[in-house]
Amino acid sequence: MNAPIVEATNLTKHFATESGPFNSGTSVIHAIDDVSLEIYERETLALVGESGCGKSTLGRLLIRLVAPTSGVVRFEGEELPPVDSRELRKHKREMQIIFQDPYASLDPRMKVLDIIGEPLVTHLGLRGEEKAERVGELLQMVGLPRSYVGRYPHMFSGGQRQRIGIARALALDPKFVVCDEPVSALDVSIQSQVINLLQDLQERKRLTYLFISHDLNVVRHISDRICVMFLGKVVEYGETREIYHHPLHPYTMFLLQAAPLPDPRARYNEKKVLQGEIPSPINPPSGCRFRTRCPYAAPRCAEEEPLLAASGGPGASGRSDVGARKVACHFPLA
Amino acid sequence: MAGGSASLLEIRDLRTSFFTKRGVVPAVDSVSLRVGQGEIVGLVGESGCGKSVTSLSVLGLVASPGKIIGGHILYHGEDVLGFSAARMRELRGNKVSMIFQEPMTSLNPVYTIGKQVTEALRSHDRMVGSKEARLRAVEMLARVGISEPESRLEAYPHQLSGGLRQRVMIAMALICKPGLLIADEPTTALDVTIEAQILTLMRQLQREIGSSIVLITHNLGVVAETCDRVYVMYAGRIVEEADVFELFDRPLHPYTNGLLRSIPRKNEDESAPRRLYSIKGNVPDMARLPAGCKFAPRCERCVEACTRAEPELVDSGNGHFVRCFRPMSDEVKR
Repeated sequence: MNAPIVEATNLTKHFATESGPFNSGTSVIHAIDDVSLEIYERETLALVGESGCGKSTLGRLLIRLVAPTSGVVRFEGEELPPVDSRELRKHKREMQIIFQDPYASLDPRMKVLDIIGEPLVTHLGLRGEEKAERVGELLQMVGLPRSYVGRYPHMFSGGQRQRIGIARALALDPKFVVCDEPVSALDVSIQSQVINLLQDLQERKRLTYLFISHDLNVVRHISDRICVMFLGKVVEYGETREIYHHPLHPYTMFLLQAAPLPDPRARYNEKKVLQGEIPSPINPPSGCRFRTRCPYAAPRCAEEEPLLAASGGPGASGRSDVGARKVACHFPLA
Repeated sequence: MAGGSASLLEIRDLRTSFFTKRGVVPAVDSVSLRVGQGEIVGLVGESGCGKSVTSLSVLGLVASPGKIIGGHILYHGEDVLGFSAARMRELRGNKVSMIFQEPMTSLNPVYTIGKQVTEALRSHDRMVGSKEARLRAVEMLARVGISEPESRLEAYPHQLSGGLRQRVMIAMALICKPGLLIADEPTTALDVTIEAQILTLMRQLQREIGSSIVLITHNLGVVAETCDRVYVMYAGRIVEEADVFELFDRPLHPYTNGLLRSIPRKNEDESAPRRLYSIKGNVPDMARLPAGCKFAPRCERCVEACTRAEPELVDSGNGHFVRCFRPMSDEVKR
């Protein structure tokens, strides 16, 4: 395995809700609680989980778009400086993000030349011909004609806009890219085009991806490793194939079973449907946060929080290194 | 097969167009569709293909500048296009009801859940008193799996999660025991574990109440798990119709075949292909459709004849219909 490019240690992010006319006093949202993980060079680590589990917040913490409440993020071994510091600028060139909604993430009043060219101006000082030339190259790289430089976002379809978003993220030749649900808003026939493009670019540009998604079919296809989150915590972590074969955490199993398969015969498989709703991150349950929905929960689960630890169960690769399989459960599945 | 039973809903040559400044947009063009008693019919397609406009036409809810310009919509053999406003209102909710994608925007934020659920009942059946309406609302909320239904009646929509809101929508839609339920992307805004709950619930209620369902979706996984028969729409037209097993086993239209092939899925030998199949080009602009087959510009099997004339929807046996001059044959697939 390659060297880690991003390492997060005991990362925590709490947001305070503001008091308003309908709620007095503030409360704390536990968006990310004590998360540690490593992302290795040139791999794709998928971050999966349901809405509100903190996966987007974690992605933003890793590239310092958001400041953590506590904890450390290292990029290529170097601790990232504070959010508003000048030293962060040089790191920003190497860490970029692709957003979910290609309609909301492009400024409608800017031409493609300026949307993609903005980072070239602010970071490299490119102007005029030089900038136009580089934007043209970037457009070609994402499969759009160079002649599109003078167009505005409204003239493009969703898939084309996402290509523009990708070109902008890659303008400064980053090493690490957070892809936050990059294909979720796209039509089925366009999704596979964009997934192929992301994979081609990863190979050509030697990129490392954090791929945030709730689509488990896409994740299975694109990722090397998976990190499963529930309510601000990592509950399971390991190689994609091992996790799909032998989920160890009950939540992972339910998540995998819930994804509808494009095969009508799958309807005859007995499907275990997870009951209940996602608990509130303002007052997370004591002990294991999943216990209120877990059919296997025992008294111990309410009293003692399970720690993310290497598992010796089936599917564990037997390695003791940091990339090995880990699960946070008192009673992992056999 | 359910498809063989008497038709509850029959749409014949429906044409709905939008008269915009940019010209006439033929959103639904000669669509014919049949829903049998107790049948779950899928209507699949990508954004802008006309699937939602088809369902809105059935309920007489097409808003200006849209207009139904031709065809027949028979419910129990009666053409609803000739109905007065009063009869149409009686049809909606009482006999045909609809649930929408976004449960937050389809509930009124200033009224309690109880007020909205009982209103759905009482506006269609004036004989129901307020006490009885309340009892039936509680019963219906319990039936869609809402715990503590009595106290939920006092809640406002913002106090419920997305999954609960969609359950309330389903309760409102089914409280009058309609013959037909139109569900427009009912699970698209929900998390996968909640999606699995809602789909299970819809199937279960369909069996208990005996309603027919038209399920509108872009998700072929949802179709595979839920529907009996499927219509595939492209650019305002039905391009393929078949039993769900037949469609997934033997797609005949190159578009259907492309959609199915572009979904990432596991390979038997686990050596997932690096590249996904993708349909070239973009979803068409409905105001500037090509002559001939509407899919021709994106089709790998396109020949000159496809660009000159539009193929008819023809029967290829077993109730499998396809609109294509060169349908997929078994040798070329996958």
